[in-house]
Amino acid sequence: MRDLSQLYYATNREIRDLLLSGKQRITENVLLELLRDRGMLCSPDEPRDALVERLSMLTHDYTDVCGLLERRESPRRGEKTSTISIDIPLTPEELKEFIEEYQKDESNEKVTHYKKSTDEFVMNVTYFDPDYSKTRLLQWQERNATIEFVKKDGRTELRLPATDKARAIVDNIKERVEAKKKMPVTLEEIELTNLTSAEDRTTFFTKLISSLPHFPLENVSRLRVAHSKSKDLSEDLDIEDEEVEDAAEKMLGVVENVALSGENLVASEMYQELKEKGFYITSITWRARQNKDPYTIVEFDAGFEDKEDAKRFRYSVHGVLRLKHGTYTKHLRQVDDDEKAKLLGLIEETARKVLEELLAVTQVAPDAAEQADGGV
Amino acid sequence: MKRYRWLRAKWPISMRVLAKRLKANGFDDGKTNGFVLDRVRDDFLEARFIERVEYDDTIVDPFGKEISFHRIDYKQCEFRATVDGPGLELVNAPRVIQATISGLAEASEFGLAIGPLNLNVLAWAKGIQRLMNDGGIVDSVQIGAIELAPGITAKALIRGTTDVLAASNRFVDGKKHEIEKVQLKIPGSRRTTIILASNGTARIDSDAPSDTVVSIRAALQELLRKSPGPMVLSISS
Repeated sequence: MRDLSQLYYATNREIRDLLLSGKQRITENVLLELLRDRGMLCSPDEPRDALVERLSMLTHDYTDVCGLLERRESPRRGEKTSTISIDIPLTPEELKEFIEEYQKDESNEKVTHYKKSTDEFVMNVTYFDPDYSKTRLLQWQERNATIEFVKKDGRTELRLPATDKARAIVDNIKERVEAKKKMPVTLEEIELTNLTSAEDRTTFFTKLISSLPHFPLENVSRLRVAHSKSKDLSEDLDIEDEEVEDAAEKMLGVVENVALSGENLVASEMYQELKEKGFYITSITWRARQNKDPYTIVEFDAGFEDKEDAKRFRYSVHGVLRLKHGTYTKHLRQVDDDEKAKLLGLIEETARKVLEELLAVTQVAPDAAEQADGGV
Repeated sequence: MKRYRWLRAKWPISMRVLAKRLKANGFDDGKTNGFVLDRVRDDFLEARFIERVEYDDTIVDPFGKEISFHRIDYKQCEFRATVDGPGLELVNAPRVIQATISGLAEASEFGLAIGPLNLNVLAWAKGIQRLMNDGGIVDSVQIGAIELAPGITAKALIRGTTDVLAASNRFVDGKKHEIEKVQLKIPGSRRTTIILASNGTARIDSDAPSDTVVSIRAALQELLRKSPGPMVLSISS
């Protein structure tokens, strides 16, 4: 239920700000249409400001304001997904219990849940997230967080939006599970904290894009790389004079991260040069063409929210290009939920596998080196 | 007409190793894309990247009846990877070559660096003339970005029945310009025309003698050896 103290009426200034701030969605044509609905015909040459001013001075009832807000709302296309795995299996019945408890405590939020299959459970939380950087009417927007729980091989895998709120909900549920089961529960995310070398971090992404089952790499169109900061520097001997030198060094022209966009970026000279200079990939956007019917081209995106420590892996499916009469559609189309879930599942599975393989290799390598040293 | 395109490519692995990797990702019946190796030597490799696309094409007849055909399309991209010279040569490449490049990048464990060429196309043409020993003339030149006044540029196509270079020089008259394309006419027994572009492409008549492309390659290699980086273009006679 919405907090009653948050209910207020919209003044003409607020409606004006709302209309003025959404230049892309509230276009001149939309404004002319809104005015026409009120029986006012305006010249198409009239400036935007004047149209907004005229419209905001009219009386708006609750549904009118809702209508404006709806038009102003941006589609949630860019939302990224994240995955967390819990090291114990949770059945839908158990989850239902935890989620109902959560609902009881968090009365400001609206929680719905349903059992998708014998091993899958979905919870949806509707909450308000204030964003004070926006104009007043848009500060309190309703948001949704859908968290999917899948019981798999003695573990529970979660798919959630890559937002702080969704992570907070998961932490809250984890605490409830711990209290109920009376045992510590660990949440595992895909993170490269144990892979500190630039080479290993880049390999994680290159392996991910080249080993998605049935989706061979077609093109890498966006790439973000960051420079690996040598952690050894902080362990230098602390001599005062050197500290001063270090401070002076920081002021030099230093490139910390670079965003590239273009075609076939991983094979570009620029990227190879950056790689040689110690830069590693922190996020990547790539297209892959399905190697079986219907040969769809999918644009994926994957990266780390915390670039420096390579933590909080998040990913998304931007859209697809469909094959129609032998040629592909020009613009990316939205993917329906079922297909999206399958594609996201592919990334999760592949990312986990690649990380496991990489960790196995890096753990074996030092062991082998130690043995070789011992032999000498 | 046969189209060749050269790209600057630096291979991190030897041609033999590359061949092995391409073979591992070979195109066979069960796959929808992969490589087919044609020739492998220590210093070069010739192969093709093939993609198969299957789809149902539906046609509506004049009576409104729908007929569906199952179609299979093959897209091929022939290429030659070399240790010396520019590094990668594409033959009759389709417009979209991203999948081929991605396949090659994967085969070289993402260590392959590819970049476009920016050549002095006149020097290239001269090199070809010298290597062919057949003289030949430049009978067309396409010049772009001729600076007429600050902020005003022109593009010109100069054609002739004799060599057009001297006339082009007079036309440009010391103004800033870029030579985009050159057409070379080879007379005599080799009788053919070659169109060269500054981005490293060459078009040759399909009935041209088979060693024509060998001379074009050799001239390009020579040119790159002299000036490996991008350069400023200018007409010099």
